[in-house]
Amino acid sequence: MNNGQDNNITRAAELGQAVWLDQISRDMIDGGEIQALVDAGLRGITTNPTIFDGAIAGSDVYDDRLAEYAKDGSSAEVVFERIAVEDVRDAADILLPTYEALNQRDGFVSIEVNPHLAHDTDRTVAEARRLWAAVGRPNVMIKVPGTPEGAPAITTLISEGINVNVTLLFSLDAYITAANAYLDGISNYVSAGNGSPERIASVASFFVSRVDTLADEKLPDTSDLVGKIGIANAKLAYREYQRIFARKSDGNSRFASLDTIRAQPQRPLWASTSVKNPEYAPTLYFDSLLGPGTVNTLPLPTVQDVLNTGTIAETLTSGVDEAEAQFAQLADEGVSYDAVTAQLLVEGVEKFADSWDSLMARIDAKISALASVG
Amino acid sequence: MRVAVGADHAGFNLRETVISSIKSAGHQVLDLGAHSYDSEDDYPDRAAPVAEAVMKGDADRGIIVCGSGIGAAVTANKFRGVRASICHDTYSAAQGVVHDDMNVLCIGGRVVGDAIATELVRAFLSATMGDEVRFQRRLDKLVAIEQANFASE
Repeated sequence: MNNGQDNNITRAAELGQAVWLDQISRDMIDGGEIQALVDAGLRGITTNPTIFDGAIAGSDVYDDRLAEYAKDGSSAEVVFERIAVEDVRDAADILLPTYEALNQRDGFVSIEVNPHLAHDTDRTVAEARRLWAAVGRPNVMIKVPGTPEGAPAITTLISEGINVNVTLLFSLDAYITAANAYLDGISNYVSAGNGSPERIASVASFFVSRVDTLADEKLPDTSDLVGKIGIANAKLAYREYQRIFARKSDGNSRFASLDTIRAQPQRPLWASTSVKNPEYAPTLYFDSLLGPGTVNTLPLPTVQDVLNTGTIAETLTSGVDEAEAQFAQLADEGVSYDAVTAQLLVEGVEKFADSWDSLMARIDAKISALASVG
Repeated sequence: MRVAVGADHAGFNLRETVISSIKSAGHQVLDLGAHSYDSEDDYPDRAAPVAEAVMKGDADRGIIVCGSGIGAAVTANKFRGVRASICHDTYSAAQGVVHDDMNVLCIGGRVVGDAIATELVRAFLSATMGDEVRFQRRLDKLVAIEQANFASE
C-alpha cells in the first residue's frame, strides 16, 4: 500500500504506525486533496464536532445542502447529521481500496456521537447504532468517549460488530478500561456464535498535547518536566498496550486466544498531537510517539510538517523507565496526575459539547440567512 | 471417573476388553453400545453418543472403537469441548491427556489386539492434565477457535 511512494508517511507505515488525518471538509473530498493524501500513504481520517464546525464556518460549499435539507423544517441537528454522514461516507469510499488492501485492518473514517450523550450509556449506544447504519460503510468507526459511562457502550457496540474509536482518553486507568471493554465486546461477539471477529476494528484515542498544556501550567516554570509529561504518559500507555495485546503470553492469555481466531488488537491512536507550544518542534508529538501497532492522527498542517521534516525511528519503546521516573517526580513537584487527567476529561467532554452547540447555532444562523436570501 | 464406551461393527471385537480394562482400573462404565453385532452400523452413530456424553458432562472421559479409530475421532471432535485422538501407543495415550487435556481415546479394532488395547486404556485413564501455564494457554486458544467456529448451543 505504499503506492510506490517513499516519504515519511510510508516510512512510518513500514515501522507499523499509520498516519491519519484529523480533519475533513467537502472541499478536500471533492477537490482531490483527500485522494492525494491517500496516494501519499494516508490510512484514515478522524472527525469531531470541532472539525465540522471549522469546515462549515470556513466555506460556503455546504450552503446548498444546508438550504435544501432545512426546507422541510428539519432541526439543525438533523441537517448536520445528514451532512456529516455524507462527508464521512464519501471519505470512507476514497479509503475503501486501502481498507481492502490492508485486510480490513486500516482505512477507517471516524464519526463522533453527540458529545452531550457522553455520560449516558444507553443513548450513546442507540446513537452509535444509528450513525453506523446511516453511513453504511464497513470502514467506519463510531467515536465513543472513554468516560465511565462510555465503557459499557464500547462493549455492547463491539459485540454487535460495530467498529469503535474510543475518544478522550487521558489517564492510564481509562486506557486500560477501554482496552478491556473492547476485549469483552470481542469475547461476547465470539461466544454468541458469530464466528471469527476478524472484521471488527477499534482504536483507543489517547490525547497527548492537552496533557502537556495542563501539566505545564501546574508545574513551576523552572521544572525540567515541562513539555515531558504528555509523551511520558503515552509511552506508559503503549507499555500497557503491549502487555494487554501480547500475542504470546505466559500468564494472561486473553488476547493470545483471540489472536488465534484472527481478532484485531485495539490500536492506540495518538490524538491531540499538533504542537500547541510554539517553542516545541512542530513534529514533536509525531517523532516521539512512533511504534508498531499504532496510529497518529494529525491536522493537515502537521501532516505537511511530517512529510517535510519528521524523523522516522521507533521511539515509543525507548525511555520508558525515564517516563516512569518523570511520573514519580511529577508527584514530588506537587502535581497530581489523577487530578490533571480527571480535569482534562471533564474539559474534553465540555469542549466537544461547546463545539456542538456552536455548530448548531452556526447552522441555524446559516439556514435562516439562506432562507431570507432565497 | 465415569467413562463412556462405544464401538461399531469393526470395533466390536475389542468392546469387552475395553470395558473390563476400565473396570479393573477402578472406574465406572457408561455403556453406549452397540450391544449386539450389526455388520451394517455406521461409526458416527456409535461415536456420537459417547462424545455427547462427554460434552454434556454425563461422562468424564470416553473411549470409542471403530476399525481404524479415525471415523471415531473425526466424529467426536465435532462436539464442543471434546478433544479426541487415536492413540496406538501408550506414550501418546497418556501424554495426550497431560499436555492437551484429551478426553476421548479412539482405538482401531483392526489395528491393535486385546493386550495393546488394555495397555492403552490403562495409560489414558491414569493420566491427568499437567498444570503448566503453556498447557493452559494452548487449551485457551483451542477453546477460542471452538467458540469462533462452532455454532453455540
